[in-house]
Amino acid sequence: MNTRTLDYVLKRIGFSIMTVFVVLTFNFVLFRALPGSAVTDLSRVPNSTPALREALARQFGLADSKWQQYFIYLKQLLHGNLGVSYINGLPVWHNLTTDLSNTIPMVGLGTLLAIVFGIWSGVTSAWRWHRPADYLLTNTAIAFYSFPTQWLGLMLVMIFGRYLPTTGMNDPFAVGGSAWSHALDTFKHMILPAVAVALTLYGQYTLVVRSAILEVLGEDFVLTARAKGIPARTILRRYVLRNALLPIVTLIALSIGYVVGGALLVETVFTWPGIGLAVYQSVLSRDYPMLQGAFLILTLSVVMLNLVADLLSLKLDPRVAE
Amino acid sequence: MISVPLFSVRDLHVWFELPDGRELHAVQGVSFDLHAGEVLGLVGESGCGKTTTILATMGLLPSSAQVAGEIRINGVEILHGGESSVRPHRWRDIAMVFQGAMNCFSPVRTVGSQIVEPMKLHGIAKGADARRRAGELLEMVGIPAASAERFPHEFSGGMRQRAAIAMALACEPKILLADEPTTGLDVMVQAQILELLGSLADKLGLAVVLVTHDLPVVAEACSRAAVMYAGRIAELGSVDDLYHDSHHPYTRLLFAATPDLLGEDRVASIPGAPPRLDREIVGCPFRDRCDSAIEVCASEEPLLHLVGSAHVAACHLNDLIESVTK
Repeated sequence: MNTRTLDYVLKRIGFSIMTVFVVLTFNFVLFRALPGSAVTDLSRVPNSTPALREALARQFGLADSKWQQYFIYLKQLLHGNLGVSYINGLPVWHNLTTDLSNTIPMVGLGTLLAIVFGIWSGVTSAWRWHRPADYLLTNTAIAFYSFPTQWLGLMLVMIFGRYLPTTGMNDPFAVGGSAWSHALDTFKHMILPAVAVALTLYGQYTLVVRSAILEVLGEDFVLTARAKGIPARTILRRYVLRNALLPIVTLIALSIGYVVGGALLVETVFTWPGIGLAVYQSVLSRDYPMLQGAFLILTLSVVMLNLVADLLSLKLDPRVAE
Repeated sequence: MISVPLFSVRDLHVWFELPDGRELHAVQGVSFDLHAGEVLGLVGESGCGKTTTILATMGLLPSSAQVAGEIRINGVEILHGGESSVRPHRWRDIAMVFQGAMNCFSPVRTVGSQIVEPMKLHGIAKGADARRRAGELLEMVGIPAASAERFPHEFSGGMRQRAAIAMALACEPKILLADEPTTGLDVMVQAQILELLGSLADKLGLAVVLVTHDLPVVAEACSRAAVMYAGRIAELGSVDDLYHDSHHPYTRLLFAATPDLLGEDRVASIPGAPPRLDREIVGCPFRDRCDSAIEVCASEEPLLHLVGSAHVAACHLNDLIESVTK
């Protein structure tokens, strides 16, 4: 590794750390900027007294000044403590790991489907540029890219609801049974939400992959490769895909990073008990520690994967370090 | 002595179908022959069909282009069998240095690996043998052999141009098509590249087609030249004949439009623009800009006629002069 490469790597790492810190602060400010708090929410009961409100505020640590709260938040974070949920009183970390273990398989499967299908459809439409296959694939991708997620989810429920389960992760009445039948049941519940995630994501892949490839196809080195007598398929692989890889890898890394963010709309439509649904409910009840925790995990994941993409591009393109 | 020319282009036509159904006739009946060791210039304004002509000879035009005519290498027709029949000839018999050859290397692979690639493909050499040969080729164009391990962006513009020539020679082709190989380079490097091309033609017996819009380049590097206008050859002959004994007004005006370092003359320009090629042209395509057009120029298209030894021109004035002198 020469000094230039080392310089690049250190810069990217430093930049990532800075990003995480800035986002931590934003997370704190953002949710407190929302009107109302957990206290106004919980004290909306008959005969609530100012004393009750004060007690709640003290319990949640909301009685201190904003600055004090901020420093306590940072100090606790450094100790790895994400706090306690205002709603169920359990440690945020505990809540989040449960949600994550539900989210990751479903959104992960959806993202994987989107990547595979999106790249295939992007490469095919670029290769069949301005021919019927291109028009069909590109327009379909644009359509799915622009459909609102919740509407798409509802359509899936309406069309496939007869054949596949549409709510939750498991059949609540299927008590007992082997671990295998339980897993199969979860998988069946996972299909529709995962497909919804895949359909909303894949269009972006198609468009990015298509335009990256078309750009490379116009390059002089592709014409040169043809002049050298290299067969078309080899040119596609060795020259075109290899050079179009950079934006594609970045996009893949980012969408993997977003998996832990869950899919708020899809999880809400299909009542999938994942992190997206948890965030939605936490916003409704102003559960600051949960929100901060969820966004912290999302931030760390996206920033990490972004760093991975930066380091990969160093490997993929010798010009990056220059 | 009559011998089969090494490279022969006969009645080449290229037209593109436009989206609105009209046709753009980019190359109209271009023919020329080329022998080993010869450098032929292909000159003309932008858009006159020079690049289209040489891309067509290698079957490299996009699928929207229709090509008719014959391309023969040592008497063997190569285009009619389609892509699969041209491909074995590419780089093996006929190689090319592209316009903007600076970008003819993929940025993510080393220069050496891209020079080696066609050798493997056409069965010239492989492994360490091919790599050694790539080093030798780079040395031949004045680049240290060790640079084969470097990436294109680590080369200067002139070096990349030289490396492109080295790559073109990888499979010992008989014919080299060079499309504006010196455009965008400074004058010193330009002169070096031209000298290199000339010496390679000499040493290796290469037949070179040099496409350029730069007449001094032609004068320096070529023995013969074809002047193209509106997709046709207007005049073809030795560079001497074209300069001293031109038989086409366009050639004369083109030479007059070239700045002369020592001369006092003002640089002349040719008023007007070439005709559009997406419409049918009646008569001589140059007549609107010609300083000596006559009546017949408006109705009949002039054909190429012999006006000297190995010197042809397409101008009605030549026929007129001939009939008067008879």
